[in-house]
Amino acid sequence: MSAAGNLNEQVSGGYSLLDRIGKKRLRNIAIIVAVLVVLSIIAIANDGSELFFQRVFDGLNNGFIYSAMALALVLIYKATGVVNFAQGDMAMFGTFICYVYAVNMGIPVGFAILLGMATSALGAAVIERTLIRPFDPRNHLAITIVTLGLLLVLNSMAGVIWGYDPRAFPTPFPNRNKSFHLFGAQIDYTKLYTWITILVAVLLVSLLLNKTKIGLAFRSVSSNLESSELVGIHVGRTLQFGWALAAAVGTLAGSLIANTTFLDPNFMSRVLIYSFAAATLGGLDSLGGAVIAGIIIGEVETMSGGYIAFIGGTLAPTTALVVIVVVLLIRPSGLFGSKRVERV
Amino acid sequence: MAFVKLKQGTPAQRAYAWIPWILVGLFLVYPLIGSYRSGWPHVGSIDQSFRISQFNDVIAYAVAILGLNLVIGYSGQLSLGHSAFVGLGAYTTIILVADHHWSFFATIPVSAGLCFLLGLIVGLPALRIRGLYLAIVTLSLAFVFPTLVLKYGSLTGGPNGKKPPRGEAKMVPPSWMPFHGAGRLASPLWVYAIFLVMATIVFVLVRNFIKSRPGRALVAVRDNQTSAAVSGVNLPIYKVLAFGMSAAIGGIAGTMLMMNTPFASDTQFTIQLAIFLVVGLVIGGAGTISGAVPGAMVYLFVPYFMSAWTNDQSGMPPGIRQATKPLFDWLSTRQGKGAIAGVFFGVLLLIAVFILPGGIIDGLRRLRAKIINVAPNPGWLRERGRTRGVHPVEESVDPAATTAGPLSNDLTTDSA
Repeated sequence: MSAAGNLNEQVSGGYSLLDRIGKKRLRNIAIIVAVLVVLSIIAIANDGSELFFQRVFDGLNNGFIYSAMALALVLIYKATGVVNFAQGDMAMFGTFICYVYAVNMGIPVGFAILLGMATSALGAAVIERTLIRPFDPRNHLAITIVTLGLLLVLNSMAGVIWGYDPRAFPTPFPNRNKSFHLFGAQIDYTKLYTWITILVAVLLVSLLLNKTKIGLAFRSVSSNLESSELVGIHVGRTLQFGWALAAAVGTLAGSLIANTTFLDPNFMSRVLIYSFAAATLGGLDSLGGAVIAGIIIGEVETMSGGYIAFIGGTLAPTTALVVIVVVLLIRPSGLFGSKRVERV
Repeated sequence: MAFVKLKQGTPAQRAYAWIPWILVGLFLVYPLIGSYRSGWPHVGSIDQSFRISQFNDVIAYAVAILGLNLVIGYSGQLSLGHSAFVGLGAYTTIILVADHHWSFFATIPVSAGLCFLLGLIVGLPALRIRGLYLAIVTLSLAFVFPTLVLKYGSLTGGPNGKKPPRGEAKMVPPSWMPFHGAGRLASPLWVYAIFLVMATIVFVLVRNFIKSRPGRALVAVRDNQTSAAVSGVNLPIYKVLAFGMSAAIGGIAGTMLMMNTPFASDTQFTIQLAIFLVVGLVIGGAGTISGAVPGAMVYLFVPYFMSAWTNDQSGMPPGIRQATKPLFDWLSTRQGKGAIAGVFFGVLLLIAVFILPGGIIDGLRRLRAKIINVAPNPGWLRERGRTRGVHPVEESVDPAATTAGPLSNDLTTDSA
């Protein structure tokens, strides 16, 4: 069994970090780090350090967004046991709601995003209650097909209501056109604030899951549904909480990236593919894994697109597919996921 | 309780058993009726030619959905990348026809073979783990396919699409066909005739596959993977085989699409198509062979009528027109009103999953079971087995299991 699973979940028993990670895994990590260092040195030697760090920070920027979306995916996977294919479109719809609050109603952008997060959390809770809960939680195929239907409805509905012309989404942060330099690379303040916001959000989610009663209930339900029911946890409401939390995180990610990508009904589909790759790489049921893998995927995307001329910009999505296939072939439970054992 | 009771083997029941085939026959001759009315063998108007061409698309997409059904309906894995297989088949055909002057028929095995290989590769991760990972892999495949088409623009025509040079490579009826020389409009009718043959072959092959040992093994994997493995089913081989076959059939469907309309572009084979095919499958009936046809009809006719109605509601049934007037009035003010078909699809899918989990076909079967009840008649079955040279199965075997055909389902549920 993987001992290092669930990074942000406390494991009692007094093992030291080294024991938990294990020597073999430590060696693997060392090999990967060494390869990365060699590749970085080659990259810096070829194209200079400025470009290298610029790409590192660009990758980090995408990576944080993928982390947030992957986190939302994993939350729903833990809650419902399915991959929510509508996650991207839920986030898109939530971002449009933020847009309506901010632009049409004139509410200050930061506050509008918070309000949009609350609205989409409420919406997701309603969706969970009406469309997901009637099904047997073990009937994964039916629930997945429901999420596909949700994807279609939300995507087309946004198209009907708001049209397909890209819109500019306002940024909630100050110093919007200013930037600073780090290692010769130029970083916008907006990007820095985006990273900080997502880090804070991840921290809040982990606090919510680890320090509150409903978080405890959620972890209990996701680890064993029947036993949780027996000890008196209201399973339905707990799963609803998971959906609401995921929708809020998704809306946050959407409205933070909409500033750079422009807002239209399909703007999240590209992000969603990378978040799938991140969630798969991190192991579908590991929250910490999703965050780390999101950043890895962001870096892989930017670096492979930037340094490998053959991949360039057009083939970048292919790297996501390749990562997914390779991870599933070599290590199906991802980097941090728990291995599944089937009982006969 | 059922209103009508029929005993198996009586003339009434045997006549009744023909009804599905008569329906199939009516479906098949429908396009011909129009051309007969306009003075056979001449194909009448452009409008009529368009209708036949639309029917051809229905058949091609029905084949695509049938292929998808092998993975989703019969092996219980979710594939969201069928658009990539259909697209690969379509591009293989169009490139061979346009650049290398192959005939359309010669490209069928090539595109089926290529798609089979791609399906095997994509299906490989399914070996390692069960569940939704395959859906993720296939979804990203569907996302990547159009970007690959754009990347290799010199081969695929890139964003301009690909089509054979003018006047070349159109499906022209041969001289022995009665409507040979009926002009340009005869082409869809000839394609229709070919599609009937192709689709019949593919449907019969899939039906026989499902009823054979590997097919039953596949269903066993779907219903309970562990017990299937314990019963000696080689899981990896069957899972990958199902995926490869499904991809190959998707490739054939792509070739058929190109036979009907020789033009391929990257916007045709997107993630949207993959999802719509799943919608068509679920609405038609996952796990039923015949469900592919109503599924394909829903897939093609819903957007067609929705987009026609958003512009002009005069073609709608009168009662519905009044009821939906506010909706269409509101829609006509919207810039993205074309997307309403997508909303409608999504809602149909949700309704299907909630109310008709077995799709249209299963719904019809249940409705039929409420009206007509066929009572099993083991004596007649034994009699028939003797006359057909089949060794009769003794009483220990459920008689229902020995009757093949569309009625066997009702039989088992009713006699149980």
